[in-house]
Amino acid sequence: MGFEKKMIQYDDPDEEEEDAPAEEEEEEEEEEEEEEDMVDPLETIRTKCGETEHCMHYKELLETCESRVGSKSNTREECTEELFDFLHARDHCVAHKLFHKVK
Amino acid sequence: MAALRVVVLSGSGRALLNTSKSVKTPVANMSFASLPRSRKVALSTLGVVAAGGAGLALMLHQSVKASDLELHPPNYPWSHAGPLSSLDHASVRRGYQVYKQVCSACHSMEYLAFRNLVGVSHTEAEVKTMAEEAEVVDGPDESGEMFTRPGKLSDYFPKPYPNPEAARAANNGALPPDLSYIINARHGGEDYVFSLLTGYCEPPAGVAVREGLHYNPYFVGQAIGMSAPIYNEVLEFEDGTPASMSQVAKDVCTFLKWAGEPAHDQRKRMGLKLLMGAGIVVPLLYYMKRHRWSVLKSRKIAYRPPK
Ligand code: HEC
Repeated sequence: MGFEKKMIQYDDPDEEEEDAPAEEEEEEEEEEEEEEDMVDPLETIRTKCGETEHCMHYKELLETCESRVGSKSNTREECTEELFDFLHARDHCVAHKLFHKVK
Repeated sequence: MAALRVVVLSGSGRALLNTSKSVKTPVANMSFASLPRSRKVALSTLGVVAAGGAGLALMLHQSVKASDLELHPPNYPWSHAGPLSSLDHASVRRGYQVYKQVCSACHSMEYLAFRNLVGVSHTEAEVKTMAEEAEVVDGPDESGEMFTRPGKLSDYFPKPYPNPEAARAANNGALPPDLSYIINARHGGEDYVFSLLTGYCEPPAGVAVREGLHYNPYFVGQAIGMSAPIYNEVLEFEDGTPASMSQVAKDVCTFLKWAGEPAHDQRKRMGLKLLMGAGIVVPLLYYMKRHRWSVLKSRKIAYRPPK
C-alpha cells in the first residue's frame, strides 16, 4: 500500500530531534504518576502518533466530516470511513512502538 | 560423446555442420494481415469480449471490497513472530491469570485441560492446586448419584455456563465464543484480538449503537455484544508487572496464541533441527551422487564403423 510507505517517512515522532528532550521529561513524569494513577503507555503513544503529519491529515478529514454531519438535522451520512482511515494510520504507527514499552 | 563427434566429423559427417547460407530460419508471424476477413472479425470480437469480461470481473471484485467497510488490524511485532522465535512463557503465565480472573467469567476454553499448563506456564504442583480449586461434577457413584469433587490435572477447564442458551441469556443474546482456538479462528489472529480488546472507542458521528451493544471499530459490523473487558489495573499480576490495559491485552493474546497452537515452540524447534540436519545431509547426498555418477559421466562411447 502506497500510504504505508509514506507513513514510514513522515510518521516517526521519535526521529524529530526537537521532541526528544520533551519526551524524556514526559516519561519521567509517567513513572512518578504510576504510583498513584496508572497511565497506559498505549494512551501516550496513541496521542503522539495521532499528532504526526500523516495522521493529522486524516484527523482533519474526520473532524470536517463530524461537523458536517453534526450540523445537519437529517442526514444519512456517517463518518465510519473517515474514522477508519484515521485509526488505520494511527494504529499502524502505534504498532511499531507499543511493544517496546510493555513487557 | 566427444569421441563420437570426432569420429563423425572425420568422416563424411562434416558436411552436416556447414549449413548453407540459404537455410531459412522460421520467423513468428504475428500479423493478422494474411488472415481472411471473417477470421479477423471473429478474432477481434473474441479479444474485445475477453478484455471486457476481465474488466467487468475486476470491477465487481473492487466494488465488493469497497462495500464492506472493515478496519484491518496492524501487524504488532510479537516476540514469537519470528520463524525461530518461541513464545514468551512469562507472558503466557500472566495471560492465563487474565483469562482465569477476567475472561473465564463469560468465555469457556473447553479444549484446554489443566495438565496442558504443566511445564508451559506453571509447575505440576501449582497446576494441581489450581485444579483443586475447580469443582467438577463426576459420577455416578454406587447409588447412581452425580457428585462434585475437586478438580484433577486431567480435568478440562470449567465452563462459565452449562450450555450456549444459558450463555446467550446472560449476555444480552450474544454468545461468547469458546476461546480455545480463537486466534486461529479469526483473520489477523493475535493482532486482531489485541486490536479488538484495546480498540473500544466512541462511535463516529452519524452512527448509533443499539442498547446493550458497544462500538468497536475492529469488530465486523462495529457493534459488539462484549463490553470492554479490560482496563488499567483490571487485575494485579502475581509477578508484579504493571497491569496497564495494553499489557493485559498483550499477555492474554500470547496465552490464547499458545492455547490455539500448543505445539508452537516444538514446531519451530523441529524446523530448526530439520534445517540443521538437512544442512549436513543434503551436501553429503550431493557429493555421493556426484561420486557415483562420475564413472558414468566421464565414460566415452566410441563408434567404430565396420571396415
Ligand atoms: C461480560 C462477559 C465477557 C467477558 C468478561 C469477556 N467477554 Fe469476550 N465476548 C463476550 C460476548 C458476549 C461476546 C460475543 C460478542 C458478539 O458476538 O457480539 C464476546 C466475544 C469475544 C471475542 C470474539 C470476537 C469476534 O471476533 O467474534 C473475543 C476474541 C473475546 N470475546 C475475547 C475476550 C477476552 C480475551 C476476554 C478477557 C480479557 C473477554 N473476551 C472477556 C463476553 C465477554
